[in-house]
Amino acid sequence: MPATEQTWRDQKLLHVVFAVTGLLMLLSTVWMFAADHRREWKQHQRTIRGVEGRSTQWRLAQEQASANWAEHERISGELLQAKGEALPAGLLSQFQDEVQRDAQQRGIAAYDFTAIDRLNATVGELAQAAAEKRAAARKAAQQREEAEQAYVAVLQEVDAAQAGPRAAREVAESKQAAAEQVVAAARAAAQAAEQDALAAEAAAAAKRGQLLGRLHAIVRAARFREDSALGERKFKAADFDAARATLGLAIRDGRSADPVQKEVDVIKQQLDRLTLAYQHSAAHRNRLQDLSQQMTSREQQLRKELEANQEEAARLADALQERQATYFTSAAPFLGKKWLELPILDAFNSPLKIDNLWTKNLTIANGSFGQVRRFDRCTTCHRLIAKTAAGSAVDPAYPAARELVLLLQTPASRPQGQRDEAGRLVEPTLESVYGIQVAEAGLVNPDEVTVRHVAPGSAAALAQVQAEDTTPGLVADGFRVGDVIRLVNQDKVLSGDQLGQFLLETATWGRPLRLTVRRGLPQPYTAHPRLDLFVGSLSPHPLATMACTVCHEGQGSATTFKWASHTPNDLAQEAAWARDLGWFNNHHWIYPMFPQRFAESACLKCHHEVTELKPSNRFPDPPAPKLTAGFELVRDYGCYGCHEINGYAGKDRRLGPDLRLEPNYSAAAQAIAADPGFDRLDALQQQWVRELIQHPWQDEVRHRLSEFLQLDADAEAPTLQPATARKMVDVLKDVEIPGRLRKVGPSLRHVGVKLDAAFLYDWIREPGNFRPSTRMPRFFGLWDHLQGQERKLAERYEPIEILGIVTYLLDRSQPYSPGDSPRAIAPSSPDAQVARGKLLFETRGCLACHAHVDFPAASSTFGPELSSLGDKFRGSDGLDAQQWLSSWLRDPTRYSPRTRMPNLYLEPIVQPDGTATDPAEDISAYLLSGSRGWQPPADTRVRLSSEDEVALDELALEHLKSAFFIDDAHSYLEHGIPAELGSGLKGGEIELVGSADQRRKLLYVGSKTIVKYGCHGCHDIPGFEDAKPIGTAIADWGRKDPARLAFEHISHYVEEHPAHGPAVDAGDHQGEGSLDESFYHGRLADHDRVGFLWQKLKEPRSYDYQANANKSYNERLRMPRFPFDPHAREAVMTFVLGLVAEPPATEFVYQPSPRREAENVGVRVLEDFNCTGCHILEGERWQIEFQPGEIRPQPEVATYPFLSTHVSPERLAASQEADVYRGRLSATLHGMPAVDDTTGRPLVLDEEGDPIEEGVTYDPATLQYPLELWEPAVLNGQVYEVGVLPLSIFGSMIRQKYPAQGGDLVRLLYTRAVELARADNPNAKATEAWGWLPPPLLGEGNKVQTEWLYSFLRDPHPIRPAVLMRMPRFNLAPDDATALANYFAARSDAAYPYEFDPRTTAGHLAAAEANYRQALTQVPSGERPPGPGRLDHAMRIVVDSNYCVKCHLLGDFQPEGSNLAKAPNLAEVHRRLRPDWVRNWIANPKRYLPYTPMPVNIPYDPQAPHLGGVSQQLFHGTSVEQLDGLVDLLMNFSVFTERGVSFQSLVGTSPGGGETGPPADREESDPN
Amino acid sequence: MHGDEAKFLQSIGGFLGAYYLVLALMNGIMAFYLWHKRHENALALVWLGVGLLFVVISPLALSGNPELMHWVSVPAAVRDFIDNRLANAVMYSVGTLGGLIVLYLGRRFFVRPMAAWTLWNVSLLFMGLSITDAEFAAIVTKPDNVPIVGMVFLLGFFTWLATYQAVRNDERAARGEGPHEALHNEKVLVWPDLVYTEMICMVALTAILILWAIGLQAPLEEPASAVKTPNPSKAPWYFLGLQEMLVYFDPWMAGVVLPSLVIFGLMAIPFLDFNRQGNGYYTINQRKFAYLVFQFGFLEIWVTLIILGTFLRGPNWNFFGPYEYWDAHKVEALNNIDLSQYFWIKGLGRGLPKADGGAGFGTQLAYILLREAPGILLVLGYFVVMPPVMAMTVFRKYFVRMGFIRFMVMTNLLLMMALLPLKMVLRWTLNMKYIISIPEYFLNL
Repeated sequence: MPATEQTWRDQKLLHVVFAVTGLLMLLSTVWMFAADHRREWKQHQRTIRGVEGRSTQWRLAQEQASANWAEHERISGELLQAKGEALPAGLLSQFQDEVQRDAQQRGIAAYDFTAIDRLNATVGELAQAAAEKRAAARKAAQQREEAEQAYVAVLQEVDAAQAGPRAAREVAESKQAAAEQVVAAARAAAQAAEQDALAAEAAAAAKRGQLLGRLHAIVRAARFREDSALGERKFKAADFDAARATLGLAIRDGRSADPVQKEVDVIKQQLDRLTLAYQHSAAHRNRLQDLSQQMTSREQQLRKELEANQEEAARLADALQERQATYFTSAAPFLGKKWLELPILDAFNSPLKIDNLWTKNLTIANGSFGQVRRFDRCTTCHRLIAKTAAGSAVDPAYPAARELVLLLQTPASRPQGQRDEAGRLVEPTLESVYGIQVAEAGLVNPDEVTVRHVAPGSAAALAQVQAEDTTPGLVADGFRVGDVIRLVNQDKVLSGDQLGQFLLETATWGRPLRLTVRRGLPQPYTAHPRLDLFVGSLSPHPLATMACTVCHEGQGSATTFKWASHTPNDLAQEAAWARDLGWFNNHHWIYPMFPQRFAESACLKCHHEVTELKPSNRFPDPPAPKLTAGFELVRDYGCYGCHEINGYAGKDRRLGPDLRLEPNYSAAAQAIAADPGFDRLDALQQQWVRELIQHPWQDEVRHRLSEFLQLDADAEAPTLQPATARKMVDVLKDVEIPGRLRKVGPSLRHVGVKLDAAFLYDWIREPGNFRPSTRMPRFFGLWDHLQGQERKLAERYEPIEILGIVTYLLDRSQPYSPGDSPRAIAPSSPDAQVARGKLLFETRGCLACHAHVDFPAASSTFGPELSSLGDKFRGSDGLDAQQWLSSWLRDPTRYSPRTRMPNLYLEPIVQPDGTATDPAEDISAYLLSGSRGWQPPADTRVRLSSEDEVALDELALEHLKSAFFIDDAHSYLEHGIPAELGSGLKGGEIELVGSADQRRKLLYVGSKTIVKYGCHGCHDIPGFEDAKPIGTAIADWGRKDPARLAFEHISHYVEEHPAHGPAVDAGDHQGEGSLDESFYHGRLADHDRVGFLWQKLKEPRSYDYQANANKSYNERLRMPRFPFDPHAREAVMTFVLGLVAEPPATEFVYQPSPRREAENVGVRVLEDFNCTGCHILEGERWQIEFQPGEIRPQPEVATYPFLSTHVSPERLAASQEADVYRGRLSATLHGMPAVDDTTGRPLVLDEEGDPIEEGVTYDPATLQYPLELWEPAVLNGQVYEVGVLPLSIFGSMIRQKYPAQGGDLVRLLYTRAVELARADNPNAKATEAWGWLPPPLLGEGNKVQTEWLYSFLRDPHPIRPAVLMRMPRFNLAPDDATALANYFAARSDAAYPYEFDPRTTAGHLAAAEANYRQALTQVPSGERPPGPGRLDHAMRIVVDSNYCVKCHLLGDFQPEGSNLAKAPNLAEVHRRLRPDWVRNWIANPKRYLPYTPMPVNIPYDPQAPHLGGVSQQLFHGTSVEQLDGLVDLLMNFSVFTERGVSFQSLVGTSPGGGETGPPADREESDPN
Repeated sequence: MHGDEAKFLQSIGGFLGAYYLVLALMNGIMAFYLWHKRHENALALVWLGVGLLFVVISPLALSGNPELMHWVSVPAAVRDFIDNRLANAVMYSVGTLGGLIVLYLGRRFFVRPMAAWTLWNVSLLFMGLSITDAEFAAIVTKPDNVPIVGMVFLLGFFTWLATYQAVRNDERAARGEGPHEALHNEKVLVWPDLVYTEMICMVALTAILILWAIGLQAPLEEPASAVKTPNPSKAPWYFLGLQEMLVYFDPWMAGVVLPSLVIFGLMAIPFLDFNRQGNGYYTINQRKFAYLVFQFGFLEIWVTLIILGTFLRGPNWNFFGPYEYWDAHKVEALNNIDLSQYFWIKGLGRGLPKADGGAGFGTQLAYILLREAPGILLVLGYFVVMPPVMAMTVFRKYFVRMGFIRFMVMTNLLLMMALLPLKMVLRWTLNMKYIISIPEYFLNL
């Protein structure tokens, strides 16, 4: 068919379709660009530019308004004056001389200086005139001020007169008119005078400029001559080189050299001449330049100061320049960058860019791709995350938003208009009244009323943050640039005008206004908190190396909020995010961000030991409080007893925290000791066993014992039971990396001698019944989730299980002998015993670990609460309770070798009447007298009813069925397990071998139940030495796949049983707690591991809800319920969620320096044994703010130069820097509150310095809190030394107080000790009570020798006779003692583990002796101290009754008086103390222990002859030499005393060796 | 699922209200078209009424209020019935097959535009009523699945269109007229008829792709991990039919042999086809055999399996009803046994023939062959005996026209295709796992 013009389709229609599709295409393209332009992160970045630009501008203005700027004004004024000063005549004439000398040298006419002289004279005159005018201007200004003041006074009169009679009003008004005129005139005069002065100064400066110009012209001319001379010389030098080369060539070619040589000589002469000329001109020019510079030296100096002053402002200005994106650059018409941010253009080369942070070596496990490098884009939106405030390396520039309430003081009366210079009335403004300027638009949200300027020192700058709002040191008083004002009292502030109305019109005058302010910015515009710790470039976790997701998790590559896997912190946030930001729970990203409440979990990835996360000197605010709390809970509640947390994968790979039980060596040895064959072992073998019981770390002994056991078990006639031996061989095996934690519960190995069945039954059933504060969890009666038949089953079986356990424990309890009680104890009445016991209980340090209802102030939970021990032991039918308890107190390790209870050295005390009492008996009598009326509950089952017997059979059968075939199980239940099967059995089945009577069945069920519930995880139980933890290992629980968690029907449970919470504990449903509930229910519904863990800790068995019907009884969940409140629960969760076993590359894992490591390990031991219960490790820390001059300077005290604290000039300067807003200085003080001399209570004084009285109310801001410094402080450029006078700190200065670290017992007993002391001696000084209590251990490492400390810790001996209690002996392993000794040395930065003391070297002593004798020769023999040498003379100081021996023991010498006044034995010093410390201590004891009663015995006085010191009759030399002599003596005491003893004469006289060592080595008996 | 029902309804309300408005508009246009162009006023009124009904439904749906939404949802009883009674592989397979048969037999009715329009409305209404169910919505609105939903409707439309044209041609043929396509056999111009339309298509396609990319962003799922596979693990949608076959066959069969044969079979069609009718136009009656075989292979054992795999297979590849929560804890017992076990253990009451542990390769092979002899014989019988039987019975004519080789190829391909439904039936009825099971050599059938 031929082609036609006919088309197949309608062309018009096609055009329409084409038009429509084209339009669609256009629209979709536009939409695409719009969507790109509106991408979330681009909007954030645009906002951030605005925020940064504007806030920088505001800060610049603030900076310029500050005191700094005033300084700038002053310097510029001075600069102007300096510029107008006449040139110093002397320098000018030197200049002239130099010029003339040069002219003469060059042979030209002398320079005509008349014009210059004239000019200088004119400058001088002008300068004089300017100075006069300046003085006049100052005077005028002063007059103006006076006039203004007078005017104000008149105005007040006018105000007052308004109410008065008309005549008075008229008089006042006329006065006002007159005053107005005066003020106007004064103002005009002042202004004119100022302008005059400025003009005169400018004129002088201009003239001087001319003059300097002339001089500079001369210098320039000299320079020109110098340059030309140099040029000429250069050319000639080239000629010279060429000529010499020609000469060389001529010689080489054998031509005649003479003519050439002549030429060279000529050139050489010329060159020398030119060189000389050049040098002259250069020297001339240098001199001229020097002189002219000297003439302007003051000006240049001022210029430099000005630059330094403007540094911060210049930096801000630069930053501003950088931040501002404009359409045109400053060099218009060039285009600025802002064009590139326009829609569509910004799709191509936009300055808005995605930030990629590539971390080095930090990887993420990314499925099949394995470990891939992390790259985080979080900073694309969180751009300001690392921005620090101007001038600080750690303060965030844009902190996270928080609400504050500021109290703004209003004027006394309604503010009136002020007259301006022209006399017009100007309405009051926010700025004129309060010193606030409000910005036109807010930083992030334009509608917010935002502060853009605060006048320094104004009411706004001084506004107080309401007390309850202050969070530790984070909130500064006063308004700040960028604060958003939201409420005035309760009214919303919608605009700046409205704010003006509230503040200037409707306020109640004279009463402060409550302004609610939002400080900081919302996310994502904030900086990271704690930039000193995180993100900051100086922090341990800088952004560039760590980036974000390694800690926070989440999807780092995302650039939108929802895909970054942010995790809301609570339901409200979740709802808000879902609504505003499109948040959803992205199940697909397996590393969702930690919600804020668990943010600290991430620390565990690298900080495996956790102890390093405690507050330290560098980071005094706890870096991870929740995590450390969680760690401590897990440790204290012994979670690891069931759930092993293995921190190692093989010997060399560390995965995370390591919390595992120590190997059961001690228990194994105890089991061997209880074996019937033990008595047949030979003495050596028995010794091995005993040794291992007490010292399980003795590997050598263990190996020998283990080998012996192996041999014995295989022998034909074994001594021990072969089954025991084989089992123990297994237990005694080496462990590659042994765990180090002891079982948290007490040993139950001898429980039969201690407790009876009724108590045990009730205790096991519900521990809280007897002791509500116990840490023992509840295993039984957790039936909330059970219904119907399931519940009935539990109700029937659980009593049988408990009774089984009780039966087993009592049956297997091993015999225990309480040991001998001391003889010669006089009997005394029970009441007297209890009274003595109570005092001993209080003063012997028991309260450091235990609480008791008699001492409500003591709240330690380290050991059990002991109020009702009488109830506990009432029914004890083993040993006498008193006997057991006394023996326990006397030597706890005898009963339980692995206990942490120390040996308190409770030795008999001789009473004043001469009889002896046994403190152990007394204390136990006291404790056993305590009762709360606990009785075994009525349903306590000690015997079985017939129903119970059926239940017992069922339960036993249930257990048997899981081990044997059903028929066999039935038969065994009936007749017992045949004996021939016995040898092959492991576990509880052994109990049924032979017969199956009721007792056997109970034992069987008991043994099975112990294994089932894992009792052996916390307690040492006979027969379970080799049992393993029963729970899941949780070293990587934080990554556990939720699909592998059995949620079962938990959602139904929590939905249908909301009332089950309160049954757990009241705290769950109060306030925040109830919110948490719903948050966790949401997480449960989402099948999140967080929700699972919460519910597991709260109601561990509830996952069995409706899931039991098809489970056997023994398959039910077994986890007990711990008495955690919601906060504790969250803390534990924080720890557990952090267990991810994903350590990053080794370089990121926390690897402390050896010293830090020693500290961390030491802290662990400190906590294990509760050392801080008694000892203060660090005093209180106060952060204060004060006006310069508010704190009095310390009085000057003459002291040895080596004692004064050295402080770097930078630190001194920093202490003088006031803040921009309020001009206050800040400082940190370390010390303890000074105490009242009579009561021992901390002193609080009123404004006048008198002690406060009870019943009177004081303004806390005006109270004084005297603080005894324990460390030198730097305040306002001055060093405040320790031990001078307490600093009086006003309440208003204190920003933040950090409590002392440790020493609860000391604080608890302080006043009590004073009371006791004053009962004996009414004059006892309360300030000295520190010396009677466990000593604070500040600087202990610098004080004592590490080696001595080690042996002291292993076996403490009494040091100070004055103490109330002596240091007990802790159950420390050698490693623990080493760790502690190293800890103190490391903490004090002292040398360890080895120290070298040059003072003890023979050379040192000999040289000192020789020098001393040399010096003595200068002294007339009559005036020499008697005795042969230096140390003998030093000894004279010691034994002089005015000095050392007045208080100190010396060898066997005891000073007279009460123990409280006695001081440690000086013969011990050389073994105990470090020499430098001894020297400093003697020089000024208060500098080290401000509370010490020891006086300065060898005073230092730079004015006195011999620089002070003690009498020359005692020791010849200056005070410093005397001090040295004394220290040398003390540090060489043994050498010194040996010198005097002739052993020659002793040998042979003493039969059998007798006493060894000098008397100094003997220990005196316990002072108590 | 314990999600917040009210919250979900709230979130879906806006979309659903708009959806019903679109349906109303669609019916309004249809009514207008019928009244204005076709002057079928009664019909116009009917569709206007339907449109108005949708207008009434729309605000109910828009409200997001559970009380009101209740009225525009599939009743719970129906949902439960579908989930509990109908939602299993047997019902699904038999049901779809039955549906296709009904559609085929009733094709003269269903190709009528009004019948199609009704079906169209019903299916859209079904979507609307179902989507108030959170589980249904979760599956259907998953960004991956939205295009598949669209394609289901597209496929329905094009199948209807083709059938419509075929039925029309068949009617013409019955009346002795030539095919409808023959009426328009003039040549058309490259420009504008071809190029212009192509350009319009390109522009429209680009625009739609852009809009799609903005509106329906690709879902981000967890990183691929060989040690932790997602549950359910699903192939790309176009392979879900193959994945469904894995339920019944060894991976080697379902993943390699059968797909290869599909391709081979498609390639072979031109060589096997001897029917000269139906070239260049749609017809059913003239090529019934070809039509039925193809539609069975395409619609029944390819497309419906894709739909099954996409929408109804959940965690652990279990079958879930359209309104059922995809609970990963749902467990189905898979107690399937091999034919050899049927034969030796159940039939003869003795153990499976097994070579001694130390026996040589030959002995072992012999034992394996002995063990699997029933299956091998059966399969051999199927492939060897069936074709001659077919040639002698139902396919007599075909055998004559095609010759030996072509006939054998075709019958074998057909038998291969029939393996899937056969195996499905065997599985459902006899729990048959494999007919031949030689796991020793990874050879299972």
